[in-house]
Amino acid sequence: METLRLDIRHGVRAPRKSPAFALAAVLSPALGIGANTAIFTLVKALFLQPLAVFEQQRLVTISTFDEKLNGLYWVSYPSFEDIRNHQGVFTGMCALTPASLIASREDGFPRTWTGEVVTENFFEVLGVPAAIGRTFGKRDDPAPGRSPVVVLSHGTWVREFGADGSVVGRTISVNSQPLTVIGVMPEGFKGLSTVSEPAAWAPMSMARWMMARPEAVGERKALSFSVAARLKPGVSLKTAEQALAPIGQQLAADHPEVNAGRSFRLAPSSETVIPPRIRRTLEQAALVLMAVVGLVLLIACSNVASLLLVRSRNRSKEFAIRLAIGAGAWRIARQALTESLVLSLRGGAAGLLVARWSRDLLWHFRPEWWNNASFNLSLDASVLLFTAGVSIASGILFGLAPAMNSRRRDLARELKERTSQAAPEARIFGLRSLRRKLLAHVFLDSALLLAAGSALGLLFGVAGRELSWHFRPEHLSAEDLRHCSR
Amino acid sequence: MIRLVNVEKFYDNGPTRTWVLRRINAEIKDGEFISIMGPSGAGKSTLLHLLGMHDTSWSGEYHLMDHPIHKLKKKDRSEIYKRYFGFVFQSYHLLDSLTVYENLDIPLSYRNVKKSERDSIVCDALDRFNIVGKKDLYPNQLSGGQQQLVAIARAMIAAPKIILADEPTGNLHSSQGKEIMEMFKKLNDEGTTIIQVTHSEVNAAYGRRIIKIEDGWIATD
Repeated sequence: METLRLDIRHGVRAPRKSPAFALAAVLSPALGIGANTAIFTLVKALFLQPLAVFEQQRLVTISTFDEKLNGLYWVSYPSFEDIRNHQGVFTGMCALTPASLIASREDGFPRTWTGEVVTENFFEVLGVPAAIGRTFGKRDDPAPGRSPVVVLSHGTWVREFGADGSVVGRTISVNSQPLTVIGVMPEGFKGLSTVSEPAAWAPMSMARWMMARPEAVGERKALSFSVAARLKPGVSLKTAEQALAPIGQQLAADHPEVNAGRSFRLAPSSETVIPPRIRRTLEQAALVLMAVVGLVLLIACSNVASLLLVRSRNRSKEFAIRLAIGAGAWRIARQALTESLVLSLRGGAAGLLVARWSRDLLWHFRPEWWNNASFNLSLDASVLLFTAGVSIASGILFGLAPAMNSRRRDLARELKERTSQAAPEARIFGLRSLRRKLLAHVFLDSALLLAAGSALGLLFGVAGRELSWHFRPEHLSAEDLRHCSR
Repeated sequence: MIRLVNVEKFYDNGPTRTWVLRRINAEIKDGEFISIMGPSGAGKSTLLHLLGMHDTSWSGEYHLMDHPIHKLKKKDRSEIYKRYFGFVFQSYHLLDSLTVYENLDIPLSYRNVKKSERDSIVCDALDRFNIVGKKDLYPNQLSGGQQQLVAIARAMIAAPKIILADEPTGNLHSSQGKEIMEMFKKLNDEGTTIIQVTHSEVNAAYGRRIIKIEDGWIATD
């Protein structure tokens, strides 16, 4: 440990002697590590963010599998009720459907909210209580229109009500219906999504006024509801799916015109926070991006490796002296590796700054349908851990060549060379060459980084178009008919 | 202490072979002060680096006490070198990025000496070579003579039995050179075997034995 400390101290001190080299050797991995960190931040926000619910491992999503269309879809409300009434594997089931809400406060000025209409047991199944007030419960009459209440998200409470604790009990107009605010959910709670935070939740009893097509509630063909269920303790996902199979078969027999060829599939809720149809596209985009930035990092590593090799030739005399005063070949290799690790960790620290900048750039390129999304793109502990891991891995990668090179040397010849004889080599691999290399590989990395960014923009654009154009938009017009309280 | 039997070294230059050392047979006893002399290119430094195990491509037998060096692997040679040898170079070869103190400390760290022991040994050496005031200076802040003094202190720091010195006063003016040679004399009187390469008859006179090399052969011993 003591000798390692010496190597680290030397690794920290060594770049001071050649600041141009140090700048190049830090900037290059910074671009690579920064790009990787930014993409990881996005991937983490999309795919690895846990739902803010109680015991997520027991929460599953139920989807309809359609053989004819060979795809997974949401569930119709009548099917949801059938499953709920006949299943024995869940402690609870809930359903939700997105709703476009026009909300007006006391000032009467309307705002457009993206909310959700949910079954009354929604919060109970998810196991999340309100931060202020209460959620829906038994005291709320499930009969249509008998419980005009609403629960606000934390974001809405902060943005629209200035985090006023007295909001509970106040009445706001939603889709021209006076709804009483009964609670505010805790910060970070987004229901069954990790991508976007709904502005508010209204109970099913208000579906008639909150949904664009309230009649969909009674239609078996309308696969309009996202359904979640909590597994009973000890029940596996496979067992639960098998338990739903007879219900699906019964529905197909009872309603062949709609349910023929349809069955129910279960998946852990962690995998379905993004709808399956969108998830596939996003996963492909993320894979391509990670491959692109991975290549950028590899090029950055090879650049630094070549810089270190050039530098190790300039330092051949130093290594020869160290060997001559008793250092073993392994010790010299370890020192070379330690120095590259110190450089890469510095590159990683600079990479965090690049990551912050490129993360904002990526967010700027996001598809239009994500405009209201509230991702957690913070550079938190897991991101720092990722960056440290990438930094160490790249440090080892670009330090290996110089470390191996340090083991192959003609000691006697190098020690016999006079200082004046070493000068031409120093000139050949000197500052001029270093500057050229610095400019060349910073340019190359930057170009690749921009290419990666453009690829992201392109992919997001393609993803956005692909996800939006599941209908043929030709010869259609769109009208936005919103009622205003004024 | 050291016995060389038919040691030879050559370089192949295409079809021709250039001999650097030819049939070197020599015996060096414990506590000797030997000067190796000869014209430039005669093979003096090559012989010194061969003795110091910096050179591995040669033939013949090299016995150091009970160790048949010619039969040992590179790693084992390195261990024996660390145990018995110290090397002083004409160009000092101090590590520029380290202070005087650190230059003396690092050979000990390569020998896995504990930090507390190292501190004590380095402080003793600074005292002994009268360079305490220079301990925090970097080599480029010292004169040539001071740098060579530090280099000798570094060579002596691990208490070697043999000091190999390659023209140790070659870059120094005469008064500094005399000071360094006096230091070698003192070390030899204390029991350290000294083998130096030198062009200077004056410096060679500090030793008790002179080996002259010409065209790779031992001319006189």
